[in-house]
Amino acid sequence: MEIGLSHYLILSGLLFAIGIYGILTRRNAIALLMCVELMLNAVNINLVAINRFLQPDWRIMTGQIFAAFVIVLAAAEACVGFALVIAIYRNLNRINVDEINLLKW
Amino acid sequence: MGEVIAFYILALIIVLGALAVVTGRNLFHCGLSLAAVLLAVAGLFILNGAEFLAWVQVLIYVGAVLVIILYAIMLSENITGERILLISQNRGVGFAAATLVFALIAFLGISLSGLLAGHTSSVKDPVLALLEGADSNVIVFGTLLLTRYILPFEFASVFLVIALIGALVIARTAE
Repeated sequence: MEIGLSHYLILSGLLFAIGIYGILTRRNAIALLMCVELMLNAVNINLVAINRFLQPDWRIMTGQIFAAFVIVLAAAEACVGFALVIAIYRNLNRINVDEINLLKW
Repeated sequence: MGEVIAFYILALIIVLGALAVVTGRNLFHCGLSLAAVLLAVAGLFILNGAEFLAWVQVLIYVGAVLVIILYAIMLSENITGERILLISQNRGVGFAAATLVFALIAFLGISLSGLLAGHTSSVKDPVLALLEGADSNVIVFGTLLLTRYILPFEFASVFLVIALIGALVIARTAE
């Protein structure tokens, strides 16, 4: 019994699907952003595992560097996203995304 | 054998923690479960030989992003002083969509790993000349980042400054 590439791909698929489920069922904006973080982590697992199993030379770590940029992106997304949530919460006193319908005509 | 055990333990933590994040009723507990998931993902990075990335994950995700999340939770609960209970809606639709996505990804993943099982790239990468004698993950990571990936690296720093200023402008109280 050995752990291969397919194990990692299925695990990350599972994590991504759980994130999708959360995005579709949650109403709280903070919970939604947490589900986005879950999905970004699933992508990172994929990148690192594929880099390890399909690149025989460990010194060419393109997948790991790509994953580092995804982490940078996730940090920026969390920063701006939570600033938006706090601003909306302060102005409208609402946190559920389906009640924030100012732009709905 | 050790890798098998470690993989299954980490996978169990990841799946159960993620389920707790998407189904929990208390937002604060969801944030703590998210911390467990992120730490287990860092463990998976170490299993795959990405030590530097694992520490970046712990520092940035668990150290910074999670603290922002917990701050947002406490701020949004304490402005009104009432506890926010989470409600889930459209459970059936969400479950169906998630199952569909998982089936698609699993199918693609299994067929991809089957297709590429014996694949090895025979092209000699010119960047290897720079990495002669490099023996640790951090040295290789830094060398690659400052040679081949210098443009995205610099762009990431500008991007972070833009995001930081943007977040400050958005979250600022109007005077």
